[in-house]
Amino acid sequence: MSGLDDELRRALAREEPPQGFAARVLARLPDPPAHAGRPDAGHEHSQARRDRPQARGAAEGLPALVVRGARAAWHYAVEAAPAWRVSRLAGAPRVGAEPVEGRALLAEGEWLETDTHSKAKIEVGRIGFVEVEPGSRVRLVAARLRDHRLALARGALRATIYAPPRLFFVETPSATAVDLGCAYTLTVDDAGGSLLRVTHGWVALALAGRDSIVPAGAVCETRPGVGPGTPFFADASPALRAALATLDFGGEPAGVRAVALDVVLAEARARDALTLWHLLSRTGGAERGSVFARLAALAPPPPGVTREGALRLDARALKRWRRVLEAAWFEGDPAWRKAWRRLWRAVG
Amino acid sequence: MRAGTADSMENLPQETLERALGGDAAAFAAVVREHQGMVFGLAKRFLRDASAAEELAQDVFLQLFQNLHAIRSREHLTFWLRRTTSHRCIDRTRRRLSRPSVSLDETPEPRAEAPRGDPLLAELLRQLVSALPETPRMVVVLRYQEDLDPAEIAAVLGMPVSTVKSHLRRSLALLREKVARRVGKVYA
Repeated sequence: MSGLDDELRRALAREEPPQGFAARVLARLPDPPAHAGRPDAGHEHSQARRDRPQARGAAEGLPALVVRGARAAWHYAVEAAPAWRVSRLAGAPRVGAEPVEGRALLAEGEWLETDTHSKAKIEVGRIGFVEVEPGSRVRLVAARLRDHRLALARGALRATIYAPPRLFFVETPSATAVDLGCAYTLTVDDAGGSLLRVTHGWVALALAGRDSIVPAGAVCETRPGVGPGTPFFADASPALRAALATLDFGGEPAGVRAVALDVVLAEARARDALTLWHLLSRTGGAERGSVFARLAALAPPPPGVTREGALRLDARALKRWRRVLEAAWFEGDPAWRKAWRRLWRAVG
Repeated sequence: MRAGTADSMENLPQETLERALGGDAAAFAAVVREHQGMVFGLAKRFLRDASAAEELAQDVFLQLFQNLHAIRSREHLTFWLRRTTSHRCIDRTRRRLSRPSVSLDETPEPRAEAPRGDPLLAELLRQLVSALPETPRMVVVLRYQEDLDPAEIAAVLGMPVSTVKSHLRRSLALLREKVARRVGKVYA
């Protein structure tokens, strides 16, 4: 073997892509191909995409013309900017290699970084803003009319969005946060796991067919290779939260899982119907039956939602049930915010 | 066969592949992670542009997802990824001139095991390889990144073995000559 062969092998060695590559691929996946045989794939796949607000608008009796007009007016008002403005809040944040002194522009593909003493604010086109916490690395992926998209590689950000649903996205190594009209905090650790805390409205976390809907007051973790865990309210009991972590990420033997599920069911309050509703699709067989029984006891299914339909994860039945549950998730909201949310649903 | 290249493809458990073929997203993620170094590496070595390489690599995996039903085995999966990546690279270069633009931000995370040897010579070789015409360039990348023999390269690129050997012979002669001229190093 000649020396040139060796040098070429070294020079042309394989190279790993930038961190989070697999997550970015998964975030772009379409619905599973028709041949895919995943038994539980049907009910909630890509809910954030499929649960279209147009259908909601019709269901809520809004005249279609008003909905279309409002949507057109919205899009006219918020035409996309090619770059987003960044302002320094503390320390010395950087866009690429350049320090942000006062204000700067963040273009598609560019990174904003904050060190341990820095904070920055990004104006998300004309639809809201994001505060980037210290120790963070954020990339502007897309600045388009229908796709305002950041990637958070590590650190934390606080997003406040005043826009119809599904216009603002944050990609992380283990899920994509889809704005559904909200304010939230998203943290990504060095291992690529993330923690979402929603303060207003709600957010969907999605990774290749595994979705979680997270309303205000709730929390959801994500892990690389798994995706979004099951959401829970921040005031849920510590026992419920620990058991849920075992179910979502533990990889434990069946016996341990069964005990964890028993704990979740025993600790669940009416408000934790959020968690149980998600668990319906993340359990199978007898476990799913137990989840249904507890959920039905806490929040009886509405007319048209049968035990059989829920157990076979009938999408329409589960969605109808979720609509009823949502009233409890947002019961503390003032009337104006409920009206605002209904409008956004219709316009988005 | 070199450690960390072709033999690492055997690391993916058959069960994981079968779950991926069945539409399991977590298993598909494992498939992506297993092969991303190969796919991204081929694209990066060929295009010399990290962002273009990532875009192309993502597209390859999306195409794989749409064609999972056609994958018959682990070996076929590896072959399919090499072939698809190679053809996409060549097509892309033929469609439009790809201007190298590597920024610090697009630099990959540090590898656990740093490559040995002369880094300046390695960079020179990468530059020289990237200056080869499309087909011989891909032949050289497949030969030295993936450690494929001429028959395997011929299968991936869909060309006669004799043509592959000819490309290799001419490319190596050219590289020897240019290295000698640029840094005075003479290879046998």
